[in-house]
Amino acid sequence: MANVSMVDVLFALPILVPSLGALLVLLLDVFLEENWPRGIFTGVVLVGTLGAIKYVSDASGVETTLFSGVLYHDPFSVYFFLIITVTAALTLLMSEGRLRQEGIENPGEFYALYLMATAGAMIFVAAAELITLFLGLEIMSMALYCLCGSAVRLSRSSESALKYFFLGSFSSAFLLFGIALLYGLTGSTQLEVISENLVGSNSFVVAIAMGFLLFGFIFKIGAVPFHFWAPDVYQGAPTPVTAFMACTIKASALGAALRVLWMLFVENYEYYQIWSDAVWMIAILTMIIGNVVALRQRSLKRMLAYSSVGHAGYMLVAFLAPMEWGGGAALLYYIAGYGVMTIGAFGVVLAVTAAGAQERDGDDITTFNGLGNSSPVLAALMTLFLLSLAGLPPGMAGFVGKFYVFSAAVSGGYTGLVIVGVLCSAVSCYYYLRVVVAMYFIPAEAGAGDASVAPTVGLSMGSALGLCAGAVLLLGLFPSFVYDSAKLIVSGLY
Amino acid sequence: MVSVNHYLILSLLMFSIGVTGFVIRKNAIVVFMCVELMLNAVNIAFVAFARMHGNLDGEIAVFMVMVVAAAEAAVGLAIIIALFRNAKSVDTDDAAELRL
Repeated sequence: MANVSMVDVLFALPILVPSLGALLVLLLDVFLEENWPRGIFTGVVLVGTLGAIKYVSDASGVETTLFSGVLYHDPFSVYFFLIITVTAALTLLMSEGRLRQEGIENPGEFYALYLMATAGAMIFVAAAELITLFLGLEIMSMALYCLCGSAVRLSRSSESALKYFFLGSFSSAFLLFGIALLYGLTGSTQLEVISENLVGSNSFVVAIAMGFLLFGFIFKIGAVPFHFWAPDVYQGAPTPVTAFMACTIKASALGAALRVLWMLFVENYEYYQIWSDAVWMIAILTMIIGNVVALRQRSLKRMLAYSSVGHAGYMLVAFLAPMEWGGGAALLYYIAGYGVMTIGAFGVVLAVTAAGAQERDGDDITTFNGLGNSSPVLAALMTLFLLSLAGLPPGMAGFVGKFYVFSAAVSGGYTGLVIVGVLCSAVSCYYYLRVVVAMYFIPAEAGAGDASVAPTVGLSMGSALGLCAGAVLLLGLFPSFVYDSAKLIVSGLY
Repeated sequence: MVSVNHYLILSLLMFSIGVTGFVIRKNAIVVFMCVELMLNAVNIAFVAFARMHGNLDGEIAVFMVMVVAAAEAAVGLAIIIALFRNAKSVDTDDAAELRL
């Protein structure tokens, strides 16, 4: 019979700490005065989460599941806990003191929802059982819907919340139907049992279940054909929330998708062909559409949204190259690199648009004109992040990540996909470099409210951007440190 | 004799009605109801499968889904009210400020 031991609770601490932290923020918000340091408290909770992750990773000798097979306790979960917590903490650091400018009027609720979404993302990625997976997904999404609409007086914020809410719950209903079909085929919701019992099932029903599961995951990852929400939601939501969605949530969805899809459909070779055809198609469309549509965006947040769609395409290429070809390790590395460079880019957008954040076109590309003169450090950092996103210079996380992903795909025999990927990277240089050109070569128009006045960068924003830039360079210069441990982590996945 | 297949057909029909309504209706409240219909269609499938396999996993899943649907109702209606305050409309076509 199922019983909960103390060990289970201790090993679930990385999830429990932010959950309890979220409740505490709400509680303290009632009793303390108006301006109590919520941001610092939330930061302390995230640091506590990092401590819990350290404790769990030290203790992870034997690979087990927690709470009678509900959550995985393995290096793969720990790696994603780390990515989720670090990206959440960096986003929090850069948004410190800027919430009111973004139109968020109830910071207590913001921080509580932020921690809940973090906890949900961790449950999502660690779930060993499909109902738990669904609950993690919903905890994360429900908090995110509210976060998107947290600038309650701005109509674009509530519009983005509405779009995200409708399309998100639509896609989770499909995911849930996929879970129901798998349960019908195998009589269990445990991933391992499903994976065993799926052999020899009616392959038509398996294909439908696979399609429904893919629908749910692809939506959260933001890949074509379910990417159309991303630009609207990214643009309308407050910038800290956008950065959080683009990095933390995407990382969590990729982790969960990798585990579930590989366990169910790669391990069972009879379904591998149909699965790989579907993912191949999605990856190629995502790379092309994401990068081509980004070319004509004027809003920086929209451009970064399409860029994140394009990056989702590169990451899906890694899905196709299972363990023996190194796709999993490449994906894990890519997620880390993508996370820090995207947070950095959104951080600069947040700093530059702070003054005009309430206006609809506050993040238009003309806002960046002349930034190279008025704020050389900020412009240099933005250049670094954008070049890394474009994957241009060796020695930065973006280039190395693409190299790992594409070499894994080549050894898996997906050369055509790699050719398309490289061409798409070349296309992406245009829209990334356009921002660099605007910063350095187009002078700011006088009195247009643009970057002719240097944006203020406080201590928290400065340190967040510095940490992101440092991480991009470190990951790029010493990739083997992360890549080798990623290989070990993925080898324990099956 | 009512078999599992009958329940599954009912479930699929309800799910399809939900999907169709989601796609063609413009009123935010109705769209929201269609999502709830989809979730409840899945519930029927879960219960039918639980009966077929003779274990309780599916029935427990239904409770979880019901909780999620309730939470979704709270969040969804709050978002619709926030939108109505700003746009004075619950028509999804009016929520079209975010364009290129």
